[in-house]
Amino acid sequence: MIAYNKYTLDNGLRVIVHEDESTPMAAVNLLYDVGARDETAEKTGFAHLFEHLMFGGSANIADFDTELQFAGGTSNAFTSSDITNYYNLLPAQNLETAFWLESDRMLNLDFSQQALDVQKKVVSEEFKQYFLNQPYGDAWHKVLKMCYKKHPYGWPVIGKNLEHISNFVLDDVVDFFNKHYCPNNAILAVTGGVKSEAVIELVKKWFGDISPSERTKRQLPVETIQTEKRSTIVKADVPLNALYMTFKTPPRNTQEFYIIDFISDIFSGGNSSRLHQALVKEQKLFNQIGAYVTGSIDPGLFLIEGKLNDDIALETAENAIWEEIEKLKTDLIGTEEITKVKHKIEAHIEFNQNKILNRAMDLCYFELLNNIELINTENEKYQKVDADVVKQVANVCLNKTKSSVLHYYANKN
Amino acid sequence: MDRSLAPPIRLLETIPFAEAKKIKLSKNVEAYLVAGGKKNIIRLQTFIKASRWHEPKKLVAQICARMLKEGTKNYTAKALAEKIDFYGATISTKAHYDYVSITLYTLKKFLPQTLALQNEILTNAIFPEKELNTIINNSIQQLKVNLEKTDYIASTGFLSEVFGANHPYGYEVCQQDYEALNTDNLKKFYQQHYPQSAKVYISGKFDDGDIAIIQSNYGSLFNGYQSTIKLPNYEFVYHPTKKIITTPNCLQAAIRVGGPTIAKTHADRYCLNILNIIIGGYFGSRLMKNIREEKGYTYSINSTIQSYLNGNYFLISTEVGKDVCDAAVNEIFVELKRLRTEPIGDSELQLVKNYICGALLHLIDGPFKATGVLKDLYDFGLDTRYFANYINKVKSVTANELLACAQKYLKEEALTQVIARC
Repeated sequence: MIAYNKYTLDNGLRVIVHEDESTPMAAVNLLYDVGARDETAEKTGFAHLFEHLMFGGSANIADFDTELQFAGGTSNAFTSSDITNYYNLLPAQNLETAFWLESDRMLNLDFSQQALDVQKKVVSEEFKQYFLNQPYGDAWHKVLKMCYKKHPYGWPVIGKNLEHISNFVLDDVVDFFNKHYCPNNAILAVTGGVKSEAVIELVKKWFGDISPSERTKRQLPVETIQTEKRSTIVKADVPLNALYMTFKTPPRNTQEFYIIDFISDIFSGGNSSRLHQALVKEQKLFNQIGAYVTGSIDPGLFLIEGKLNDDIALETAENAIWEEIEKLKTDLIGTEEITKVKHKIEAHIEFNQNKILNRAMDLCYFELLNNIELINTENEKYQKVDADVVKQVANVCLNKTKSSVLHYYANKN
Repeated sequence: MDRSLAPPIRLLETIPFAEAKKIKLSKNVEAYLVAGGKKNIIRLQTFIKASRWHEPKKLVAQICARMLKEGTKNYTAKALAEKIDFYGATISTKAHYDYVSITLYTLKKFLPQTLALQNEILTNAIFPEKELNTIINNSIQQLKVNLEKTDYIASTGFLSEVFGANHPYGYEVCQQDYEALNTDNLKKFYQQHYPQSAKVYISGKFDDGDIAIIQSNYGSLFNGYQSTIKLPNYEFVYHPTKKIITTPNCLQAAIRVGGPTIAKTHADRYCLNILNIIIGGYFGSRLMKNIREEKGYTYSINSTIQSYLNGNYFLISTEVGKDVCDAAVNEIFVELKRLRTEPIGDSELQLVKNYICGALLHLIDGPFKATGVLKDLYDFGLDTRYFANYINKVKSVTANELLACAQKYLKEEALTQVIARC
C-alpha cells in the first residue's frame, strides 16, 4: 500500500505527498499536462524543445541546474506525446531549493534568444543521435505517419524533421509558455524522507502566488476507424531486414487497455513468451522480436517489432506473426500461462515502485488520469484478466483490416 | 518574498552509510546482506570468477554466461524459461570484465522456487549444440547492427588502444570469433571455473527465514576443488595514439579521449575524482557548458573514471555533428589544458563540493543501489570509510591541490584519441 495525501492550491495546482522515512532523499516531480499532441502539424517537436528551454534560466534564477547542484540535487525531464515531466532528486533536508527553482520557472521564463539558438542545435544533435545516425532510426517516424492520419500522434515527440526544429522563433516560446505553463495545468508530487504538513506549507509559500491561466478544453481530431490494411516499404543501408506491425489500442483509461497490454506480455514478456519461442527459437525467422503498447492517453498502438535472420523473406516472417495472432483469436489461453503473465506483471510493478522517484512520477500520472488510486489498484486490473476477455479483445483489436505494417529492407551490396 | 534569494541549504556532514552484514553461506561462499525497501522483493547476485581473464579464447566467458539458461540436466531451455517466468522472476546472466554475474530478481513469496531454478543454472547447465547455434547466429546479427554505430566502434576501438588488442579489457570481436566457439569450449570452462567459489550480495526486503533458505541452498554449491588458476600475465606497454576510424556513412562523429589512470586505492584518487566531476562528471560540468550549452555541438558529453580489478582508465565521450568534430576535439583539449593551467575559481569549487556531497547521498537511495556501491568498495578491499574520507577530502581540497593533480594525471601527451567518422 502506498499512502499519500492530496491537496489542491487555490490557483489549481494539485499537490501529492507520499512519506517514506526509509530514505534521506526526496523526489520532486512536476508534471505539466502538455505534450507533442498539443502541437500543430506544421510546427512539430516544440513541446520537447521547450522542455530544454525550461533549464535555460527563469524570472529570478540564471541557471536551474547550478542552483540545484549547489543543494546536492540532480534534475532531468522527459516529454511524451501526452505530458512534459520534470523531476528532481535531492537530499530531503534541502527540499525547499527544488520548490524555489520549480516555482520560479512556472512563474516566468527568461526568454533568451541565445538559449533558444543553442537548444535548437542541441535538439538537432539529439535528433541525429537517436533518429538519423542509428540503423532503423527513422522507422518510428514512418510507423506513426502510417497509423495516424489526423491525430497528432502521427509525428514523434522529437518532431517530424530537422527543419521544424530550426524554424522556431522566440514568439513561439512565449506563446507556448503562456498557454501551457501554469499551476492549474500542473501536478506536483513529493516523495521520500519528508512530512506532509511541512511539504504543503512550503508548496503554498512558493507556488501559492502564481496566477492561474485561462484554459480551453483540448479538442483533438479523432481518427476515423481504419477499414483496410496499410503498408509501407522502406529500403535503407541497414544490416538486416526488419518488420514493424501495429494495431490501434483502446485509450489508457479503460479496462480494455489492461487487456491489450496483457496480450503484449503473452507475446513478448520474458524468454518463454510466445513470439520469442515460436519465431526466434523454433522457426528461427527472427533474431529478436518484441511486442509493446505505447500506453498513450488517446487510442495508442500495439506494436510488434522484429529483426529478421538473413535470407528470410519479410512476407514469410509477417505470415508467421499472423499465425500467432490467429492462435490467440481462436484458442483460449491456458490457466498456467495466464498465471505466469500475472506473476510477471505483479513483479514488474513491485520492482518499479521500489524507487521514490518512480512513485512520484506514477502519482502525478495517475492523478492526471483522474484516478490516483491506480497507484494501489493497477495490479488488480491485470489480476482479474481471464482467458475469455483475452480472446475477445484479440478479436476486436488484432485484425488485418486494422493493421499497419512497415517492411524495412536492408540494401544488399 | 524575495524570489532572487535561495533558501538556506544544509550540507551533508556525514553519510549514513552502513556496511553490509557479512555472513558465510558455505566454505567457499561469502554473502553480503543489505536490507531495505518497502516492497516484497529480493535481489540475489552471485559473482563468480569466470571472466575474460579466465577464458582460453575470445568470447568463451560471454557466451558461456549467455548459454546458462539454454538447457540444463532437468529442463530444456524452453521449460526453464517457462518456470522462471511463471514465478514472475528474472534471472540475468552476464559476463563482466572481472566476473560473471548471475542475478535473481524475485518476489519474496517465491524465493524457494526461484532459488531452485537458479541452482539448475549454476550446477546443471548442459550447453546444447542447437541452442548454441541460435545464440551465435543472433550475436553475429547483433554485431552487424553494432558495427553500423559510430559510438560502438569508437568505444571498442578506444579500449583496444588503451589496453592492447589482445588484452582481456581491450580485445575486439568479429564474426569469426563467434563462429570459432563450440560446446566443448563452453562445457570445459563451466566445469573448471563455475564451481570454485562465489560472492553473493542479497538486497531487498528479506527476513531471517529467507536467509536460512538461501543458506541451505548455497550450502551444497561451490564446493569444487580450489585449484589455483594462474591468470595470464598481459604485459602491455601503453603508447598514446590518435586513431581515426572511417565509417561508410554517418551524421555524427563519435569522439573518445582518455587513457590509463590510477587505481581506486591510490592516494591521489579523490582529487582525480573531483577533477573528473569538474570537467565532465555532472550536468553542470565544463564540457557540458562549453560544448553543449554554449556551442550546441552535441546532445551530451561526459567523462568517467572506470576501475576494474586489473586496470583503470579515464575517458571523455561524446557524439557530435560531423562538421564540428575537429572543433569539438579542440575544445576538449582546451578544457583539459585549463584544468592544468588555471586554478579553479571559488564559486565553481564550492558548487562542485556541494554537488559531490549531495551525489554521495544519492548512492544510498534504496537497497539495490547501495548494494552496487558497496560491492564497488569491497572488490577493492575498501569499506564505507572510503566515503567518510572522501567527504573530508571534498571539504578540504584546495584549488592548488587540484591544479597539481591535473598536471600530474591529465597530461595531454598521455591521452589517446579515437574518433569514428565518415
